[in-house]
Amino acid sequence: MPTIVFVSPKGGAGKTTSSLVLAEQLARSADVTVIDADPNRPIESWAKGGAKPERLHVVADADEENIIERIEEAAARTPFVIVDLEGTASKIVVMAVSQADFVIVPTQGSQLDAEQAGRAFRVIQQQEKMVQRRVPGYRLPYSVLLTRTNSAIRTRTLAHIEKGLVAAGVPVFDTELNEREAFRAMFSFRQPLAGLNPAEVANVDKAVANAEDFAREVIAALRGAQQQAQEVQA
Amino acid sequence: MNERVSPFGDLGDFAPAPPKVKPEHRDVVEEVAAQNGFPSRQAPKPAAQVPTPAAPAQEKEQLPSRRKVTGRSEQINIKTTFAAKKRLMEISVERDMPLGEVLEQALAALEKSWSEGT
Repeated sequence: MPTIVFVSPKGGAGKTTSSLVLAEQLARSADVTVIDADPNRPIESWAKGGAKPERLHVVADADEENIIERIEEAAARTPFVIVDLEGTASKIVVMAVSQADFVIVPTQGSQLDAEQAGRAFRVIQQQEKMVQRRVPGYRLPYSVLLTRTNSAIRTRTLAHIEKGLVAAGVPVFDTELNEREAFRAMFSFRQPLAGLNPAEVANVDKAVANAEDFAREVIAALRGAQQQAQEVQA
Repeated sequence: MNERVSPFGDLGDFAPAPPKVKPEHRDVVEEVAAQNGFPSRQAPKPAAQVPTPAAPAQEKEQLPSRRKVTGRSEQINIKTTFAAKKRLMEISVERDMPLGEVLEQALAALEKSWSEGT
């Protein structure tokens, strides 16, 4: 059921990496469709490597005209749908958000990234508010995922940004996606994390543990959202 | 690398949605996109651009022409009386005969009458 949309109007925030990381983890126990709505089709070319997990399906023909249909079709087929969008402020982003059950906003710990992430929050919040007028009880939960963070050092800028987000009432995942060679190697070897060779790529185990923590937190958030939705209906 | 057991346990509580179509509030999408500066960035499909220049290929309708190709290309400018000019024009119109042909036939008739007369 849950459609998870990764949004960031800024490129390079980690949308594709974090959506693929999440998809791989979920595909260990469930069927997942990834809708690659980035015109560069990075996930499609990753899948062409031939190492795609069996329960991970890729849809790569989504554009502004058919994105809503593609999401509906995928949601009827597989329990999880993940939408990876291009890093621009474009209408397809708003369309995908309108179909989301949960939105993840990946953000690097820089001021520039955080400012662009702010645009994403405004879109999500306004969408929620406007639909609420017609569908009372409608909720569009979202959370920030801090990406490419250093696992050992916490920069002051990152601390400042996180503090700002929390103060503004923006939900932030406890798990951060760390800067890891393994997350880049997924694309250069066209392999899932689990398929990387630890002899060739450093700290694969740490990247896997990081991915599992992230997925666990997302699942918990989805369960929370699902429960809340049921309470509203009841 | 061997596949490890999934740490997430059973995810069976997340089922594919039986066509639970989300309220597709198209106008909300339009408004949110416009207000926050998220314009459409999709290039128009090439098919949509084609039909405009196709039209001028059709030729403009031609007016009927009164011009006759006779092979006569010499011009004479003659001073005459109004009556003679009028008669010349009348014969040309009545017989549907170019002025040049009327002149040729008139000359031929004149020469014939002269030869008969002598």
